[in-house]
This record gives sequence, structure tokens and C-alpha cells, in this order.
Amino acid sequence: MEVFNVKKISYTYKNGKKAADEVSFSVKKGESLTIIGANGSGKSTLLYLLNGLLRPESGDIEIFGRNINGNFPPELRQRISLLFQDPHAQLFLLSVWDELCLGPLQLGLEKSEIQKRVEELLSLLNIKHLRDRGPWDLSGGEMKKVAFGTCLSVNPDVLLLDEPTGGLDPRSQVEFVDLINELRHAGKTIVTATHDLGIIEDISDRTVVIGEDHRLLTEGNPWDVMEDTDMLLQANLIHKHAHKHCWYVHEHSHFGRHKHEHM
Amino acid sequence: MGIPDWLKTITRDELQVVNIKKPRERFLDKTLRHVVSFVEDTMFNERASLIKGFMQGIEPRIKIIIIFLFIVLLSFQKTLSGIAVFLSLALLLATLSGVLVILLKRLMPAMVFTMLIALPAALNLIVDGEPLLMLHEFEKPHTFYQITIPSQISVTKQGALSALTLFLRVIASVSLVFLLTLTTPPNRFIKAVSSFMPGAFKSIISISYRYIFFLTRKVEDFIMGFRARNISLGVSTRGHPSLIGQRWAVSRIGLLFSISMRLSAELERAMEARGYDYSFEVQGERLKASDISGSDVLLIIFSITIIGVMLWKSLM
Repeated sequence: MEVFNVKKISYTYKNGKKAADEVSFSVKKGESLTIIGANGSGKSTLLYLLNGLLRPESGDIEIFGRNINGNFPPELRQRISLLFQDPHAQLFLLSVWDELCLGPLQLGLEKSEIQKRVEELLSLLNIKHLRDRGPWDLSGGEMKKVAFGTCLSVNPDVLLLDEPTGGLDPRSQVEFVDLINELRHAGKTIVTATHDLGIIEDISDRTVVIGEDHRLLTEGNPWDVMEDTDMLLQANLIHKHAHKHCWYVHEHSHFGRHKHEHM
Repeated sequence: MGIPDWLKTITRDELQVVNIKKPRERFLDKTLRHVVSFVEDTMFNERASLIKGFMQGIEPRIKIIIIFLFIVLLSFQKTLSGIAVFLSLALLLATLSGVLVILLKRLMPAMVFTMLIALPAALNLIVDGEPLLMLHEFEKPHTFYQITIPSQISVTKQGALSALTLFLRVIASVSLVFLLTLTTPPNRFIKAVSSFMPGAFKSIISISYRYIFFLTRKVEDFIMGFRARNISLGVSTRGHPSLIGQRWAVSRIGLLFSISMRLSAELERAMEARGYDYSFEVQGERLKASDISGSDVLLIIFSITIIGVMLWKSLM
């Protein structure tokens, strides 16, 4: 079953800046899809469109088999959770504890159930020590973890993650990747927008590449996509560099494996 | 620690919403969305300025001087025909620049509010004069405190003329200003305006513009973040939607204030690091002969002719 079926959607911001140009792709239930593209290619906009925060100017988005026609029903907010690139955007209460309680409270869960859920989330994300801190007082990485916790607290079926590893230290990055994979194996559908090429093969079943012209460049399994250096160069995701060996100069992309003998 | 059991449950397959309709937007969301949209439209919308039209090709500093002179001259006009010349001029230039429809759309609120202000002046309640159109007749005049309502309420010739003059004067001035802002990219407009000002003002204006843009984007992100987390089932008192909305608004105001404070401190440090010495000069501010194009010369000649004719007419 397809969770999202995106058909030729386009979106232009009010200032005339195009962010999506006839983009089509689909996401199956339980699948983990990564959307990659250079800065400004429109990855975040695609997530906002999938989350009903923006309405496409043309094209259709089907969610769970239904064309929502730009009207995102509130019921879907529990089933689809979005992690923002800037966690400031989604944290607004006085303590981390309150932030994590908000979603379950809105769902009307029992107090004891909420408490258990939030305690488990604090442990899962290694943020127990932050429970009484104000979200504004946290570091970027801590804030990202709390924001992720708010997404998980409502137990969504679908997670939309905008640059989930951005601003995290290397250890937290690995923890995040592991957590995403656990959620993936638990059957969650995950759509991740990122330009961190290092995590794509670890977290995704399929990858779509958005070009700088905001059109879909290609889609496929992450290994094939990562091997296509010409396309990655075209998307401005990698760069070529030339260097001199003992007797010749050669060019190669600046990502992935590159074996050669240095004389 | 592995993920908890409750997080492993995927229970629903189908979308169980019977009627998909747009959820009702709350007052707070709506107001904020409109405020952000207004700021974006008026301060950052470049679409009209990117159309290839006559005024878009004019050097912004020349445009500012000419429009300023037109507005000054317009304020000295006493006759309807004199004011109409400037209104026609604004509409003609807007047509040549391909922004007439956008200009008229932007003028609508100004027209409505000016009419609301000007219309009472057309009645003999405000300005006594020769009746033009009878609206209502009482048996006798009524007096409330110091206000006397005459027995016949009518639109007077003098009142209608003064209302029309006020209306046209405001619309002509606003049209000229909109013509200027619509045909100039916002950043170039700010730069051109600040080029007529001393250094301190220049820095304040350009930094303010930059950070109003930044903070507007932040508010937009906040609104999206709130909408994304708002499940709207509102089943407990603590989580009641309106209460959550109020908490959200209060915390966002505080956060925006703290972001502004932090930004201003960082900005000062960054300026210091870049060698800022309280003088603020930007390259290419002084108007040089090489900046002036053929269209600029055409507009200058055209404007001098109009200004000359209008001055001569008012002196006669």
C-alpha cells in the first residue's frame, strides 16, 4: 500500500521562488525514502507539502490512498509527524517534559500512560537529564533530540525528517541513524530530506534526487544512486577535484570510494 | 535501549477520515498568517519588479527623486484636473511597466478607507453648501448637544467636490508610491533610499531590513511548527486547543525577543570582527553618469516637461 503518491506537484513561494517543479514519486508503507538535493533544491518544501503545511499550486498528493486535495485533515497530524530542520520551530512549551507530554495529552491518553511514554522517550533519546530544562536553553543537538521526541510521542505511522542529523555531534549522529533504523524495522514509514550523503545508504530503501532546477533527477536504490557520480555532480551534491600524481593529473569525484595508487 | 513497545505498533492502514474537508482555521493562526503574508507582500515581494517594463529599467535613485518631486507637486495642486494629471501619469507608467493590475489591487484598501474618510465631508452635516442630491428629509432640524442635524440631509456640491479632491489626492499619491515600490526590487529600493541618508541611518535601515526578513521567516517557521504538532483533538483541559494556542503565542513572542537579542549581540561582534568602525559606506552608492541609461534620460525629460507644465499652469 502506498502511503504517499505524489503526482506532478509544483510549488512556488510568494516571493516568486520556485521550490518544486512537477515532482512525482511514491512512498510505500513501511518504506524508508530519502530525498536528497543541494541547498535550496526544495527538499524541505516537499516535506511541508507531504505534511499538508503547504498546498501544491498544481498536481495531486494522495495520502493513504486518498486525494486530500490540499485539505489536510487534523486526524492525519497524529499519523504523520514532521521533524523540522530548525527545532526552534516546533518547541514552544516551558520544559522538555511538557513538550513530550503535549502530543499524548492531545490524544487524550491516561496520565499514567503519558508518564510512562515520556519516561521511555527520555531514556530512548538519552535526554533524561534535560527533562526540566527549558527548550530555549538547550544546545542545537539537544533541541533536535527533544524535537524528535515530540514527533515520536504520538506514535506516528509516518515520520518526515528534515535534516535529522544536521547539527548533531558524531556520536549523536550514529545514535540517530540507529534509532531511525529501529523505527524502520518496526514498520514505520520514514521520509528523510537530507544532503548528508554519508547516512543515505544506512537509512534508506530508496532515494530520490532533486536537482537545482527543483525537478526530480532520478530515483532508485541508494547504492545505485550513490554510484552515479555524473548525476550527483549535476545535482551539485558532490564536486570534482583534480590532483597531480607523479606523472599525470586526473579528476575524480569527491565522494565515495576512490582507489588509486599514489606514486 | 531499544524502542518501546508502544512505538512499534502500527494499527491503522486506511485513512479513516470520512469527509476530507479543510479544517477550520483559528483566529490566532489566521491573524498571524495574514500579518506574515502582508509583510512579505509589501517588503519582500519581487515578482512585479522582475517584469520587464519601463519603470523596472529605471535607476532606482532617479526613480525616487522623480516620484518624490511628483508627490510634492501633487500636494500643491488645488484643482481636480491638476490632481487627475498625476493620477493618470501614475496609471500610464504602471501600464508601461506591466503592473497596472497589481497596482489597482494594492490600491483597493486605500480606496475603501479614503472613501470612508472622505464621504461624510460630502454631506451638508459637515460642509454646508448647495444641495446636489437629497438623501433624507426630517420635519424639523434636530440638535444633539452642540451638533445640529438640518431638516434636509443632502450631498452638497461643495462637499462632493472636497471629498472627491481628497480621494483623488490620496489615491494619486499612493499610486505613485506603489509604482515606485512595485517596480524596484525591495533590496535595491532600500539601498537607494538609504543612499540619500547619513551613515548611521544607512546601517540601521539595511540591517533592519535584513533582520525583518530573517525574523519574518522565523515566524513563518513557528506557524508551520505549531500546525504540524497541533493534533486538534482537544480532549483534556490541559491540552485544550485554545489554551495550547495561547501558550504557543506567548512562548513565540518570548522566543522571538530572545532571538532578536542574541542576533543583535552576534551582529555587533560580527561587525567588529569585519572591521566596522562606525562608518557605513557601500560601493556604488554615488550616482555616476555611467549608471544612467537611455530610459532614465527619457523619463527625466518627460518628468521635467510635466513638472514644468504643471508649475507654469499653477503660476498662470
